[in-house]
Amino acid sequence: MITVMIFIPRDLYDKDSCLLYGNFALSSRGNIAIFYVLQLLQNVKERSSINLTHVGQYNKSETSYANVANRSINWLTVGNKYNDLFVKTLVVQGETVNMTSPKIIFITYDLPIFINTELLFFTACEREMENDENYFRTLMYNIKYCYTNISNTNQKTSKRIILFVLEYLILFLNWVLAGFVVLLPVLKLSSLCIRLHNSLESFRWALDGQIYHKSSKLKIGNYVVATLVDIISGYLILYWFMSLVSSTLPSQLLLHSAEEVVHTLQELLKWLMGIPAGLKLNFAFNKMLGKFFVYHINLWWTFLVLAEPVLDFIFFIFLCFGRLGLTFQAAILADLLALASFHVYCIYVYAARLYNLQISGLLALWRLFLGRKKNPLRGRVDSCEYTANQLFIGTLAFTILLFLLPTTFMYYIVFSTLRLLVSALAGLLIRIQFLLQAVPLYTLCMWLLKSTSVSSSLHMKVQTRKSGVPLVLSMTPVRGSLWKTIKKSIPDPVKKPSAIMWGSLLKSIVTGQLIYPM
Amino acid sequence: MKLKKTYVQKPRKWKKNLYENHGFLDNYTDTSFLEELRKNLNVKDSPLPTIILGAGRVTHELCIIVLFTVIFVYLYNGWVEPEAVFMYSGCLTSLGYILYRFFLTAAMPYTTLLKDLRTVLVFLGFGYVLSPVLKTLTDTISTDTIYAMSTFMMFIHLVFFDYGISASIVSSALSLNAALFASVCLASRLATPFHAFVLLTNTVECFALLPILVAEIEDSAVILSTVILLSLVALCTVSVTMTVLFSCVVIFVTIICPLLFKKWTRYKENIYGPWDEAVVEDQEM
Repeated sequence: MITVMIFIPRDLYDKDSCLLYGNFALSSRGNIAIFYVLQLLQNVKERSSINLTHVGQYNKSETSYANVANRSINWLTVGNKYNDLFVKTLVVQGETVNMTSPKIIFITYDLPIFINTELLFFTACEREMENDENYFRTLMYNIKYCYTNISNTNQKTSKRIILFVLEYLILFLNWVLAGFVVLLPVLKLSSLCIRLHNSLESFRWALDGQIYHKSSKLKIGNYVVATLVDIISGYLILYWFMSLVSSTLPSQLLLHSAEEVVHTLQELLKWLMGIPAGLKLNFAFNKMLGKFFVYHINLWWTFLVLAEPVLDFIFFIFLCFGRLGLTFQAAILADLLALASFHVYCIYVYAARLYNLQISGLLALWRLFLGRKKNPLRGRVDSCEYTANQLFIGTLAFTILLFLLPTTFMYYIVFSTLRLLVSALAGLLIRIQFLLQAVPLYTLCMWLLKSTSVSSSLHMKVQTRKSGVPLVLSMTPVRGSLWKTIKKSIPDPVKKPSAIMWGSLLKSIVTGQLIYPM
Repeated sequence: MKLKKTYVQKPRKWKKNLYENHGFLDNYTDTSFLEELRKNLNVKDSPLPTIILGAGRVTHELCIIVLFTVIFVYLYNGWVEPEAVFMYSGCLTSLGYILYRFFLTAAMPYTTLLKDLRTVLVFLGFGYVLSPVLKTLTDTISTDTIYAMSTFMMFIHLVFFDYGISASIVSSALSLNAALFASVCLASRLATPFHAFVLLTNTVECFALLPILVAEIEDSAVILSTVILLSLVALCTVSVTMTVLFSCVVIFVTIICPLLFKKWTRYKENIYGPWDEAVVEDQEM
């Protein structure tokens, strides 16, 4: 008992007679025969270079064409009686099939709409592992394969010139990006350079996708809209900012805020060198550490004061880049933050390394206190016969480290907190940049307007269900869930920032490992 | 339901296995039950003087601690000059060293002379260099906490000390470290770094070097009584209350505990039998 499924474009109803071009497939068990009709042509001469086989013909009236059935292995003749489709002759795998036994299902679809949908194709391709006999997937794949290979030979000359220029632009961009990649280890420190690199890459990707039809129109649409929103909001904010600070020089502003930061830090260190929070820390050690850090801060402040003219120039460059969009401004802010908090970072590194050394030393000496030693060969702690010398020096060192721990710990906690704050701010700015780039306004509008270009699932409706006549279903693409649609239409170069690992962060804080920006 | 009695005669003897005892009830207890049980095989009934001298080792260590504390009190109150303490303890240590090396051990004394000199130099050098740091370590901690910590650490020293008997709780490293920790805590209360250095040297002499000498000397009532007397006299000059307390403790540890131990030996009931774990001994092949 064979079942025949026939996918047919809906504009069949408008025609009187035509030739059916498409593909044929047979299920693995041999009981289902599928005809994919992808093109309706009037005569053989209209055939383009698409690789489709002639699978049948259709005519409304009773007259039939010259019977070409004998030459084909799979053949289908479709007729139309009172607007009901039915099959006149059917040849499957060389055998003519008796019209009474098979079950026939017609599925009509709107070909132009199906050519335009992209998400349907992607959704179908995802389930490749699940169901090998997904006929819809094969249909989509065939449509995609046939209709996207239409070459641009029939284009106007002006379009050709534009394409030519764009191709050269892409070559130039490739060259620039290669240069960036070479300098990447140095430029990685500045988030502005990273942002510039990302935006150039996205631009190249968009051009590539548009010219060579490599990426979906949705993603490119999203990218264009996001960039436009970015630039416009950047201009607005810049205008507002300039109106606020038009009186003072921007470098003076920067210097002023840096001076505030330096003063605050000095006050903080003075507080730590005294009796912070009522804790009485070791006097000599405390004074030594405090003086050392204050010296560092003074050094940084002198450097800033000396570099004032350079700051003017740098600020001018920042303003130029700021015009490129809000994401660039966020990147510039991140850079300024890193610059202004450099001394905090330095002091934090010192304090963290000292704390780490002290903790690991204490741990090793505690084992010596108990008369044990770590055995790296077996990966465990064994008892050990120490000499009196070793015990003497070891216990003295343990006592010293133990009583100096509160002082180190105080400094470490204070500067760790500051460093975490700065890191959190920097992380926030990175995520703002990601959000601005990935905001899917275009997709959202399309989805709200129920446009078929964002459809990701199918709606099947029964058109004819009478006895004696084959079942006719109609298939229309509809929009899927908003979240899935948005997820699939984020432009390719936009990468989500990596998630924060809270467990390892906590462990790093406790043991004194350095925290890197996340 | 009554158990069905078998009519098999039981002239056979009950055997200690699982496959031969037909006819016997399941809960039958033979007269040869527990005939391999042995009690108190390894108990040695030592005479009272031996026990007292054994307990005397603990008292000996306690007296050393008391003497050390007295030296600290003298240094703290300024009743004695640190140079004097340094000289006297140095002389005593050298005497002890000569005694140890030349009379008590059989090995050639000259080969180890260099090593011993190196040990002494390490102790003195590190002590001298680190004493200014050690003095300021616990400046901000209150005196009561220091005294409590020292007492606790000295107690740990007593518990884990190696009294010459093999026991698993003994850890000579921990006891030495605890004593050193206690002395560093006390040293921070003294007036100058040199005081701290002197105290540290005394610690090393009392707790690191003295046990080596004592381990070679047999238990002797004369030495024990001398040491107890010395510490009582020293403690008298510091505080009478403490002397009374200390003498009570000494009497308890040295006299009362051994008496009780001897009296209660008859309550000892160790059982041995073929069910004990086998003890594998090394054998010369």
